[in-house]
Amino acid sequence: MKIDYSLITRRTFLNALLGGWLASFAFASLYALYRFAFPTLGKEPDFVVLNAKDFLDIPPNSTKPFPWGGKVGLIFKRADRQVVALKGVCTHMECNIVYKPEKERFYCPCHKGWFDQFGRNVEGPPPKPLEFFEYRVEDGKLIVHRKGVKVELPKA
Amino acid sequence: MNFPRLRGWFEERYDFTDVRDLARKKRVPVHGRELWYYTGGIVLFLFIIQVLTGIALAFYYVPYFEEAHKSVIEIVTKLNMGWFFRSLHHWVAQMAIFVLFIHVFATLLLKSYRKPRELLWVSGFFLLGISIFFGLSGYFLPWDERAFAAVRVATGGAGNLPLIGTWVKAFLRGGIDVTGETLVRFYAFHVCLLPLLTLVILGCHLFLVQYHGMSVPLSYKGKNLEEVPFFPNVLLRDLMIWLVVLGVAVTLATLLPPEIAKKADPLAPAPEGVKPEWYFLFLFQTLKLFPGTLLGMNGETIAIVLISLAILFFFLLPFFDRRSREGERSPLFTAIGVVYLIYFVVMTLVGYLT
Amino acid sequence: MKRILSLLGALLLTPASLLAAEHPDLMPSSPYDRSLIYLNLAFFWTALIILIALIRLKLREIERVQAMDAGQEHEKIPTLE
Repeated sequence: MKIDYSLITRRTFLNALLGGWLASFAFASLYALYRFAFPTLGKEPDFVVLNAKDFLDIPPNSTKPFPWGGKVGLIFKRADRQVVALKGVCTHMECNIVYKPEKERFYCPCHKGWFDQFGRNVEGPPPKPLEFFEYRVEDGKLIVHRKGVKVELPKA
Repeated sequence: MNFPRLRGWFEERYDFTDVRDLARKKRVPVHGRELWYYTGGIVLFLFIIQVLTGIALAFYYVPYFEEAHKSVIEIVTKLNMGWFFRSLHHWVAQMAIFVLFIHVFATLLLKSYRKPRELLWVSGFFLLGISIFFGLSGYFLPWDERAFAAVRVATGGAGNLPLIGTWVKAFLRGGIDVTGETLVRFYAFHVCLLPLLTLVILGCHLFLVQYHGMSVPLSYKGKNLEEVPFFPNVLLRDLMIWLVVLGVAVTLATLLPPEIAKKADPLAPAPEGVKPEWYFLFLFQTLKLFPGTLLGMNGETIAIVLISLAILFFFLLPFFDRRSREGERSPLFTAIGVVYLIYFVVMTLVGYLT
Repeated sequence: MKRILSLLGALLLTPASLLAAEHPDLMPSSPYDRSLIYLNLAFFWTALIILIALIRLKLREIERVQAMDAGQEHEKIPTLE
C-alpha cells in the first residue's frame, strides 16, 4: 500500500539517524572508559589456606584473625577448646568485630552490637547471626572454606 | 530535541539573548587557508581526551617512587583495557603536542597574532609551555630508567639558565637531585597545577577567539569573503575532523602500545642511547652545536642564553611586528617565521636520526 | 566489546605477566586476544566511518536548506510569544 505523503520528514529522519548513531558511538566509547575506571570488585575467596599450628594452638576463649579476601576472618577457640572459624564482620554495617573473653561474646564497636559465642545476634542493631565457615586440617595446613565448598588442594 | 517547557523554565529566570545571538551569528570566513582554522579545535579535542583518560589512570597510578613503576605495570597487565587507555593517553599526548606545534606555526605564518589578537598569541604561548611541561611531567610518572635520565637532563639543563637557573632546578626537582620527591612534585604538577592553569588560560584563550572572531590572512584583506555559520556548519566539520583524529589515535594506541623500560635506579648509569622526547630534540641539538667553551665562557651557558633570547623574541613577536599591526604585509616577519619553522623541523629531525 | 572484556577478566587470574618484571606484556599477547583486539578495531573504524558519512549527509542537507534561504529566520517577522 503506497501512501502519498511521507510519514517522517527528511529533517527528522536525518536528525534521528545521526543523533542516534552519534549517541551510541559516544556511549560505547565512554562505556569502555567506564569499565576501565570501575574497580575490579574483590570477590570473597571460596577458601583460604593457613598454617594449622599457628591457629590451632591459641589459648582457649580467644580468637586469632586471618585474612579472608579483603575482610577479616577469626579462628575462635571456645572455653571448651572447640575450634570454629567465622567471618569477623558485623552483619549490621560490616565493621570488624572483636571478641570480649570476659563476656564470652563478640562486640561490634560501631553501633554497640553483641553476638554470643555461637554467633547469634543477641543485643544491639545487628539483624543476623555471624557467618561461620567450615575447616579441615590436612598436612599441617588449616583449610578454611565456606559451607558447601569442596576444596581439593593440588598435590604439590 | 526541543523540550519547550524546560527551555521556558530557564528563560523565565535567565536572559540568554546574548548567548543565543552569539550562537546564531557567529560566522567563519571561507577562503583558501581555512583548513588551518581547525588545528586549534583538534588540540582542544585531544586535550579533552587526555583529561578523561588521565583521570581514569589516576584512579590506579601510585605516585610513590617504590610503587609507581609497579602500578603502571598493573594498569597495563591487570586491568580491563588498562593497556589500551595507557597507550591512548601516551599517543594522544604525542599527537596533541604535534598538532599544537602545527597550530603555533600556522598562526605564526598566517600572522593571526597581529592586532587586535596579540593576547591570543600571549595566552597561546603560555599554553605551549604548559603543554610541554605536561609532556615532561607525564613522561616521568612511570619512573622508568629512560624517563629518569630524561628528567635529570631536562632539569639539569634548566639549571643552566642565567640568574634563575638554580632556583628553577631546585623547584622542579624538589631538592638537589632527582629523587622520589621529584616524582611526587611532578605528579602534583601533572594532575593539579597544570590542569588548573590550563583551565584558566585556555578559558581566556577560547573566550578571546569568540570575542575577536576568526582572523583572516592579510592576503584576503579587502576581499568580500563568503561566511558560513559556525552553528552547525563549522561545528559539524569540526566533529568530522575530530572523529578522524580519534580514529588515528585509537589505531596508534592499539597497534603501537608504548614501552615500559626498567624501573629507574638513581644509582645506576644512564642507559645507552637515551634521548629526550621528540619535542625537546631541537633544544638539545642546539646545545650540541656549541663547543664547551666559547670566547672564554661556558659554552652551554651561552647556548642557553641564546636559546632563551630566541624564545623570548618568539614570545614578543606580535609586539615587534609593526607592519602587521598596521594591517600591512610583513615579509620580514614571514621570513623570520619560516626560519623558526625550518630550524625547529631540521633540528628535530637531526636529533631524531642521530 | 563484551567478549574482550570477559576475556580480560580471565587474564586477571594469570599473575604470570606481573612477575615477568623485566618485560611486561604491553598488550594481551595470546593470538585469541590479539585477534579480538584487531577485530574490535575494525568494528570501531566501521562505526566511525558510518558516523562521518551521516554527519556529511546532515551537513549537505543543511547546506541545501541554507542555499534555499529557507532556514533563515527573518527577525522582522513578529512571532506570538
